[in-house]
Amino acid sequence: MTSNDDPIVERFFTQMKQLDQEVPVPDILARINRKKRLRRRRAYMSVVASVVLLVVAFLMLGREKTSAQQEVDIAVVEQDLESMMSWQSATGSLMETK
Amino acid sequence: MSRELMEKVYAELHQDAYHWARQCVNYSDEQAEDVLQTVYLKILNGKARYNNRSGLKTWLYSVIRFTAADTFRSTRKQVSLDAAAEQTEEPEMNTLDEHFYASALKQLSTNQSQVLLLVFYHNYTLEAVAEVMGLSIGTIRTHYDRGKKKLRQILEKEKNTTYDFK
Repeated sequence: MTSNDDPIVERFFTQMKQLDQEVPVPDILARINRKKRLRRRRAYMSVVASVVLLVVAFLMLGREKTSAQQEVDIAVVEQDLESMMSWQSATGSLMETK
Repeated sequence: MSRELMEKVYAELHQDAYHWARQCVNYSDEQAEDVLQTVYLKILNGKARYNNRSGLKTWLYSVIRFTAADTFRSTRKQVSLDAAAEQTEEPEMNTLDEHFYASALKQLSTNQSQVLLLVFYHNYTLEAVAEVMGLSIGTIRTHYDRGKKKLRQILEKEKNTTYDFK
């Protein structure tokens, strides 16, 4: 209906079409699937990373708690030792006066 | 439904669709792949629905054309003017011949070159071209006549070079 009236233009497009046959046509569906897989892997990796971070944070919190507890224990022993020493010195001086 | 449609499109029209996508984005292989990927995702997600009002190929070409125009618009917004000028000056051509065909068509307006491509390259009637481009048949006929005349002038200018079209 339209194209047979201009041989020059028609030849131009015919040659262009022939040239385009050499152009490789990419597999777009494979590209979509590859991207989907990549996105899924990225999501999985971010979940794993956040779980690891959570575990590390939990462990560090526990460690801090133990060291704080240790400090409290040492303070109690020191206090006990001090009171014992003062008691000892008090009894010592009492014996001397006797 | 959308999966069946996608399978049909891929089996029957993928090659033609890729060439049309390339023609819509100034022969950039990378952009053509991006456009076609977006189109296929639209079909798979059900965002682009085929309603049997026109032929499947006509509908697909229309979706590709509008998606390519959207992509072009958004990249133009992102890229600075200088970079855009560089991009349009040096499209990704596979061969010297391809560069010649593309530069000849680039001298026409986008509508003129797309009408001629749809008629001469993809064997569409003017009525089908009007459906693909969403324009009236009168407008399409004007683009067709003017585009053909201008292209003939360009080719006649080139006839003394290695490309002989007579």
